[in-house]
Amino acid sequence: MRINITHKIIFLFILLISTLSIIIGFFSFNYGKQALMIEFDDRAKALVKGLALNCEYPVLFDNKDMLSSIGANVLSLKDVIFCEIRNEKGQVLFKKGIKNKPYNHEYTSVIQTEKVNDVEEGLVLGNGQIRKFEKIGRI
Amino acid sequence: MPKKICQIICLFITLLLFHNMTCFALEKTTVSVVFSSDMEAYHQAWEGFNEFFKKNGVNLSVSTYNLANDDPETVILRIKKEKPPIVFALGTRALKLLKMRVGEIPIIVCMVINQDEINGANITGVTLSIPTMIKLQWINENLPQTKRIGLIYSIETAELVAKISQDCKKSGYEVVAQKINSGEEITWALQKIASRIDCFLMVPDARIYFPKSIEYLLMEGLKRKFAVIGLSSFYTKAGAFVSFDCDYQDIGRQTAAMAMKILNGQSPTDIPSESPRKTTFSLNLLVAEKIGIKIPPVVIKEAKEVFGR
Repeated sequence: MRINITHKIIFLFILLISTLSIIIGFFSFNYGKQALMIEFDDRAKALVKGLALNCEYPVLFDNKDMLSSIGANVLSLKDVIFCEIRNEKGQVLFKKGIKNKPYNHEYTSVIQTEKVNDVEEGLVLGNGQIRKFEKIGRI
Repeated sequence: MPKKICQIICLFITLLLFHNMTCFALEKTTVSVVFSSDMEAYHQAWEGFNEFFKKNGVNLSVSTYNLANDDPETVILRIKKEKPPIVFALGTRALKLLKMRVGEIPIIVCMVINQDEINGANITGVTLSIPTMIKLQWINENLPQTKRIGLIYSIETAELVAKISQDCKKSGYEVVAQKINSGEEITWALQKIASRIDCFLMVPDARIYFPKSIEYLLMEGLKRKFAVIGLSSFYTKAGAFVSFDCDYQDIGRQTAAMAMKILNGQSPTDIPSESPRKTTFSLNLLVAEKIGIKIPPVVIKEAKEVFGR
């Protein structure tokens, strides 16, 4: 079979289309992956922050039952594989799940509680300006 | 002729008197005012203080300092330079600073909870603490089923709790008190005393009470059906059954009356510190319903603030 100019043009055109498709596919795949990762990251951060807020009360008063139910609730979510809650001394109050799975990302947040400064009338007069936040644990 | 002279003399005397009166009205008294922070209640007390002097025809020349913005060292230096006849402190922070650094100028103070802070030869004023007897009298009239009163305290408020306990005993109430080291221990302390109390009296202790421990206390009160007596209307709004409050403007006026005595030459040591003369109370009707307390409409009418209608 003789390869004439028409064949050559068709072949070149197919080659061009294929290369372009591969390049566009590669970039769109990467872009999609990045967009998904950003969304995943935002969701995970919000989840951990919410969890830290929910844990303030049980960590403060060492209520392990409440922590277990909060932890189990978080682990029931599709993307959560491991959860650990510690108090400010570093003692583990709740730990469940498998930590070392491939492609996992670790997110942490500080558990804080609001305390009133040493000026007593703030307690009576109820002013937010003389309050401070104290670290009581970590997710 | 002598009649005319008499008339002139009379006119002269009248003019002289009038001149003296206007001079008194325009007399300026210098006062240095130190605010502990920007709290609204401090400003209300300051308004009352100012109002009292205006009503009595005394014009105040005021140097105002606020420890929320001003450097304490500069405040002290300026007060020492001005040498006013009196310094007015609003709140514990201002009082502590002045007590330490200003010994020679009389200090008049208000908006301080701890009466023991108002000690020293040059200090007097009005505290924020409402006498326990007023609270107990209200409990006696409106919660007749109350026999035992619960208290949780730390080392900071041990003395205050001892005084409250004495007053409770005098009024025929049994006190169930529990000492703790921090607010985190409030859970076991409440579990220990909750079944033995009919009502719970909060004491102003920053070591024990912070938003979450207060939330826990109020929730336990609802669960275990005991009335929580809060520290101010903020607590009633949050879920305490009743709280007692002071009229901050009136505290200012009360303090001004004491300041006037000092300006007239009396020594601060001769003027004992006072408790607020005007007290009000706030009620939470929703909490009352949940814990099974019926409040007569007359009492509701008497309350300054009513929540949960």
